[in-house]
Amino acid sequence: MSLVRRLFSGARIREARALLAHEPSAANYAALAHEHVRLSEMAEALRVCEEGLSSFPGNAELERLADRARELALGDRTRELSRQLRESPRPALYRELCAILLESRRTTRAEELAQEWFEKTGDSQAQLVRAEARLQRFLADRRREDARLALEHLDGAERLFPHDERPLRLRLSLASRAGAWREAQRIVARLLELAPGDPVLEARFRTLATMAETAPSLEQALREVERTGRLADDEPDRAVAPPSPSSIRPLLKALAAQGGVQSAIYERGATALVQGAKGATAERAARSIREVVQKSRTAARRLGLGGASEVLLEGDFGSLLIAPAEAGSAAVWCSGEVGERHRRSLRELVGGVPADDGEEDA
Amino acid sequence: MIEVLEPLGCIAGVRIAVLVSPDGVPVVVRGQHAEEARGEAQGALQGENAESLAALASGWLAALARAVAPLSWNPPTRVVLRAARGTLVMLHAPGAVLLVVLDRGASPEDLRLPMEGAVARMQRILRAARGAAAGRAEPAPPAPLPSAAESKGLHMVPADSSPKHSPREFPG
Repeated sequence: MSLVRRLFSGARIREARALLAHEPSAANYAALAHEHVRLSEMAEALRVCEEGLSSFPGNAELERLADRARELALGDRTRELSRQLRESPRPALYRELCAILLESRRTTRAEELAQEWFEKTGDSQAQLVRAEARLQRFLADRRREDARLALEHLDGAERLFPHDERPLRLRLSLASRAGAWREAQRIVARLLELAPGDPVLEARFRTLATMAETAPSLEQALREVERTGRLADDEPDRAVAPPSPSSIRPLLKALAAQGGVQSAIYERGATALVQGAKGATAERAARSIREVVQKSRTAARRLGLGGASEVLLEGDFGSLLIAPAEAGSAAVWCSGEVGERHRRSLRELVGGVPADDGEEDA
Repeated sequence: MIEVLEPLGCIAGVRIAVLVSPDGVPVVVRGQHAEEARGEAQGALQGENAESLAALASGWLAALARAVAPLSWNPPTRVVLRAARGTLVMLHAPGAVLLVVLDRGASPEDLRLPMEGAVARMQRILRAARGAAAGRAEPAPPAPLPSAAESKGLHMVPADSSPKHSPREFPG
């Protein structure tokens, strides 16, 4: 980078820092991180994002920037490793590249590379990496098919490493996260055979024994995870408190009063608040939106896109924008196109901080 | 149809663009930037992924149409599903569905015009193909031997064009 450009960028960074000091908002943290990214200072950008995330946990823009900075920081090493692998493929390079890919959550690529690693070198470690990559995918997307494939890879790894704890640990992680306590207890028992007297494992075995009685089988647990999209140890999102019913109504009224809005709906569980539509129409609208949310959540997971954060339908009826959230879903039906104002109002309704980017992690 | 989808693949943030025809056969173009990022290995699975993607996305679109039907709404023409790790945009084209998967952070609004353009282009191509097919079908196939009228100097005309011409237009 030229000296002149660096000088100008330095001035912009100072300006962004001053703005952040004056008003420490998520947007200003993101602006400062952007400036560091422009200067290719990835470590500094990452530090700013992490600082911002400690004050604004779960902010989509800061998380996205942090991910991007991390990816770019690892990008150079990834390219170098890929080049070396083309010239002389060997297990150490594959291992490092797979670790980087798993760290940057590129699980598909990690799994494919592990497959290539296994085919080219016959290294049995590759089987474990494949299993780990697939397990990560299952934990991210909650698809039963991913869990089934992870278990298949683990079977292969166990055959290759009959006295190794690692495949069993991965299997235990899958069973525990899915809530298959009986299966988890069985795996811990096998682990105790490999490491007898391990106090942590023994304590875990006792805990699992109390829960195993009424626990579902592994298959049932996986089916339930796919259906609900929730793992057994998922905590409800406490960082963003669901709005109280008394605060929803005015927000909903304000949204319905905006220009072009036909109706605004908020749903939580089996209860729906509707502004704009009345009687049977309101009931039908609430039922339709509930179904759209449910189908969209399932589709997003099956497509490997993760948790759904926004659904937009456009047609001759106008536009229907839905913001599904854990606590409840909000929707607005407009006669024309939906705007950023509607989007922000919906995020307020579902208890999220109004985001510039409209994207929120599930 | 590949040439219709190719411009979409050049847009930054596009992971994959698929045109799903009514017979369920997907036409696939992978995003150039996605290709660079994921390497060649992904390409080997391209066909299989696109087929399952097309099937899942079409199923979701059909489910949405069913969900909004009780409101007396027609099926949506454009749908966007934003999620934690990407965005799916689907645009209904006559007799087909165009779907694009975007990387996380890419804006679906940036794809609105290019997708509508791709659909319009596809329709133009189909219209031209239909026109050419109709043009080819018009002239009647020649008979192996000249008829008695042709031997006397009369020209044969296709049966469907007879009302357009008066008998006076024919020589003899």
